[in-house]
Parts: sequence; C-alpha cells; structure tokens
Amino acid sequence: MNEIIKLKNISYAYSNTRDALTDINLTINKGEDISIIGHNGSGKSTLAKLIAALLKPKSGNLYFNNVEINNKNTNLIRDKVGMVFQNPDNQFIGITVADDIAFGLENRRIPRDKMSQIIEEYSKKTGIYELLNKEPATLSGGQKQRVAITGILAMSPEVIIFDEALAMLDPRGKNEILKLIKDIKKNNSDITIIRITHDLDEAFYSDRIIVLSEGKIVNDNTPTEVFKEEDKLIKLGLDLPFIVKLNKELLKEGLIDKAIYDFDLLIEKLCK
Amino acid sequence: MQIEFKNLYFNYNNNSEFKVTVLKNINYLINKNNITAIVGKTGSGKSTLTELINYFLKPTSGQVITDGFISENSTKLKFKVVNKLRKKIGYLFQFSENQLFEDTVIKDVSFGVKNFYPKDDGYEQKSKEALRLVGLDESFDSRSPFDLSGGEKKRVAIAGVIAYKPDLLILDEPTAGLDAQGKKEIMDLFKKIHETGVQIILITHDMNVVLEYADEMIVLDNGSIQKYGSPKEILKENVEKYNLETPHIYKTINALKEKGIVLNNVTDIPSLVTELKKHG
Ligand SMILES: Nc1ncnc2c1ncn2[C@@H]1O[C@H](COP(=O)(O)OP(=O)(O)OP(=O)(O)O)[C@@H](O)[C@H]1O
Ligand SMILES: Nc1ncnc2c1ncn2[C@@H]1O[C@H](COP(=O)(O)OP(=O)(O)OP(=O)(O)O)[C@@H](O)[C@H]1O
Ligand SMILES: [Mg+2]
Ligand SMILES: [Mg+2]
Repeated sequence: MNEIIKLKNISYAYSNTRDALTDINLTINKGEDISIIGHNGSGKSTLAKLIAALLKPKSGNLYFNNVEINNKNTNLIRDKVGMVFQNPDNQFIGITVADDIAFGLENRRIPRDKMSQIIEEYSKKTGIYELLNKEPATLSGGQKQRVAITGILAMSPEVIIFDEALAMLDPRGKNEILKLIKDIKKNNSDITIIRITHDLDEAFYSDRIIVLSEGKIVNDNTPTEVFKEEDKLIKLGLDLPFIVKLNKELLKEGLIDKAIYDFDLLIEKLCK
Repeated sequence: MQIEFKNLYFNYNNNSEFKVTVLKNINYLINKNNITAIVGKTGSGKSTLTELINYFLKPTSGQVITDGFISENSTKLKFKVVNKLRKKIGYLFQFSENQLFEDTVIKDVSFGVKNFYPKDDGYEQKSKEALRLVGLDESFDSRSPFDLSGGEKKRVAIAGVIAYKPDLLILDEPTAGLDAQGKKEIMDLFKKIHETGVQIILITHDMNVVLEYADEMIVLDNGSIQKYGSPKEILKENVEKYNLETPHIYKTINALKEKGIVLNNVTDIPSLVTELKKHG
C-alpha cells in the first residue's frame, strides 16, 4: 500500500500549559476511508488541522507522499488536502455562494473558463444549484453545510477531511452526501477520506477507526474490533453504534450465535 | 408559557426581488407543559419559526403570541417589552459558538444573569453551577471561549442559556457536535430542567432523540405544519418523505413486522429482546 500521510512523534500545544496532542504516530494509506472519533476536546480537529498543514507541530515530523513537510513546502499539502470545517461560517469568504466556491478554485489555479462548469456540476451533485446566487449568511444551517462541502469537493482534493461537516444535515441529506462520497471513491479509489464524527453509526461503516482521548491515540483498528470494547469506549465518553448494541444483547440472550452487522441479514436471521 | 401562531406568514426580504417565502399560514398552539420537537428538512423554516417566538424576526402577516405579548408586522418593539420577554427565554442558536463573545468562559456564561438581573450578585455562583452541569470543570472558567474545541464551545453556550434560569428554553440542534455521552448527559439535563417546570422547544434532525425525549412533535414542510402530535405515533409512520429517518428501534420493529413477526410494547433494545424471546 502507498502511504500518503505519515505523522511521526507529533505533539502540538496551543498554549504552553498543556499539550493538545501528544506523541502521535500515524500512517494513512492512499485510498483509505478513516473515521476519527473521540470525546469533546480529545484533539480531533487539532489533528485534522495538522494533517492539512494549517497548524505547525511543536515537535515531530509530518510526511506527505513521503516528502517531509517543512516551512517552505506546505503548499504540497495545501494543494492536495481539502478540509470541511466544523463551523461553515468560518469557511465562507465570497459574497454569493457561487463566488465562494469560485474563490477556492481560483486558489487552486483552475482556469476561469472551466470554473463555471465545475461549479455547476458540483452544486447540482450536492443539491445547492438553486442557492448559487444567495449570500452564504442568509442560508439555513444545513444549506450552509452543503455549500461548505461543495466548495471543497469542487477542488477535487486527493485527501478530503470532513470535520463534523454533516452534523446539521437532515437525515436524507446526510445519506445523499455519504452516497456522493462513495461515488467519488468509486470513480477514483486513490481518494483518501478522513471523517471526524460523533455519529458512531457513520463511523462504523468506514474501513478503519482511530480513537483519540486526551490528545493521544488510544485505539487504531477496524470498526468491529474497536466497538468490541464497550467498557473502554464508555470510559472514553463514547458509546456503541445501534447495530452493535443490538447484536450484543441478542448474543447475550442466545437469540443469535454470532454477530451480524448487516441490518437486513440480521433481520432475516431473526425471522428464521 | 403560552405560544401561539395565528395565520402566520413569513417571508425574508418581503419587499424586494429577493423575497423568500418561508412560512405559510401557520396556526398552532404549543403545549406549555411539553418538550416540543420541531423537525423537518433542511430549509423548511424551523429556525425561522423559533426566531419569531423570541422577536428576532417579525411576522410578515398574522401573529405570534408569546406569553401574552402579541407580535405582528406593525408591532413597534419596545426595548422594555422585548427585554422582559427575552429574560424568560433561553435561546441556543444552531451555530451556538457564534453566540460566544466575552473574553473568559465565566464572563460569557454570566452575561445573561448580569444583563437580566443586574441586582443579583450571585451571578458567578450561578454561572459556575451551570458550567459544572454541562460537564466543564473549573479549569475552563478563566479560559477564552474562542480557544476551545467545538463541543466545548457548545457546552459553554448551553451553560449560558440555562444559567439565568429562563422559563422557556429554545434549543436549535443542541446535540450537534457533542460526543456520544455528552449528548445523553445534556439531553438528560434538559429533561431534568423540564421536570422543574421549564418549557422546552427543541429543533433536531435526530429522531432517536425526539422519540426518547419529546412529548410532542411538529413536522414542518413546504412552509406549513404537515403533522403534529405524539412522537410515538408519528415516528411509526413513514417519515422518510419529510427527509427524516425512522428511529433505530422502530426501524427494527417495522422490518420484523414485514417478515411476519409482530411485536408489541417495544421501546428500546432490552424490551425488544424480551419480546423476541417470548415470540420464540
Ligand atoms: N485555539 C485554541 N486555543 C487553545 N486551546 C485550544 C484551541 N482549540 C482547541 N483547544 C484545546 O485543545 C484540545 C483539543 O481540541 P480539539 O478542537 O482538537 O478537540 P476535538 O477533539 O476536535 O473536540 P470536539 O469534538 O469538541 O470538536 C481541547 O482541550 C481544547 O480545549
Ligand atoms: N436572512 C435570510 N435571508 C434570506 N433567506 C433566508 C434567511 N435566513 C434563512 N433564509 C431561507 O429561509 C429558508 C428557511 O431557513 P431556516 O433557517 O428557517 O431553515 P431550517 O429549517 O432551520 O433549516 P436547517 O435544518 O438547514 O437549519 C431557507 O430556504 C433559507 O435559505
Ligand atoms: Mg473538533
Ligand atoms: Mg436551522
């Protein structure tokens, strides 16, 4: 597998009193779909900002495509990594939605004549085509998040980081965006997805989960392995996804003899 | 607190070419003893409707009557009246971190108490209590609210609206951004506050939360109220057409029912398993 991002002994502190991240070692391979979970304040957004080279580590080394990142070559990352922020208001700069998306494209040196075509294509995919002429500030919460997502997707980054970026979408809208992410990956399996989410049902369906607690990586494994340790997760401020909880109770009561994490298959089994 | 919408219409930018029609002929009386959930798709007008209750917006036509105060298009809002009303209402914005502005967490949370009860010198104590209730320890008190994580900011904003003990809490997506346990703890906290007689209006996309905590729900779509009543009843039906998602537990019961296993009295996983065992 080709590694795309590597963090070696990285620490970060916002102030000199306390580390927000301590000694992070992490390798992310090209094409992975990873979820980062952890309690409030565990360091998820900080980690994301370090990966996107928006923050500079206090110590340790960051590699992107096997090149060590320093003060002079952060553009190697900035051109390739797109991050959708937790609060979309922090991301908007344009007067209209269309301007806002165009601004990002301009930064990536996309020729003007191509821009309107890209904006049209992506805004249709994310369902905001009708909003292109509106001011970002006058949108509803979910509309703002869709616009923020569109702005990043339109730049076709190689690594896309979603920091709680779907939290205000209605359930159908959320599923549509999840499906869109899937389609993007289907078209190009080299795209790397990093989702920071408190939605454990969503995290359950990624390839790999990284669990942060108090600035440290405390687990890094497949979703089924991570969610086996219920007591540990509860101690960390987390919980189990519904399907895992259900399986656990069914197993305990002997209604099934091994866990089935596919909802439809589980129902079928129960009906036998 | 009595809240009533009467023939309520609302447009943004009513007198310009950018007019946006949001609410059309809303008539509804919110039950004051309830936790009321307002749900509906993105852009359906939920935040607009609750901002009308708090006088952030004025009706284009029709009336919003909050605790006896009538708000209509021609109403000249007097500072005194608005202040008297806002003192009774705690409003948590959808992007609540945008409502933080002081230079320390404790000052931020104290703002409401000091503003509405200038003679109350117990504001610091009240604010500390509120902060502890939302799960932030003393180490947060003197920090800047801008230098916090997303979920920590959310908790500060929540502390800020409960600290001055309003009679009504309007909570726009209160659990978005909270970790799994925080979500449960904060919803349990709201429930406890509700049990002391505080009315709650809650906007959320999480139907599991609605089913577990709300007594009454209103489904907005296309500018009007499409459905209202008990979540236990409404969420059993098809809510997908309103872009909503059937709660996990109901989804499971419905799927089993389709295959011929009909279960009654199921409200959570344990009762589901018990009923399944009975079924054999
Ligand atoms: N700008 C800042 N200045 C100082 N400390 C900060 C700043 N931003 C975050 N922190 C602190 O760093 C730690 C990690 O914060 P981070 O935002 O990475 O958490 P998170 O895991 O994203 O949490 P959440 O789920 O609440 O968004 C927290 O203790 C937080 O208080
Ligand atoms: N200040 C404004 N000017 C013009 N249009 C606005 C303004 N604020 C909101 N709108 C529009 O009014 C409609 C309703 O917005 P509102 O914020 O009430 O939706 P919502 O139900 O809260 O949605 P969400 O779940 O996405 O937060 C949306 O189409 C939105 O674009
Ligand atoms: Mg964060
Ligand atoms: Mg809203």
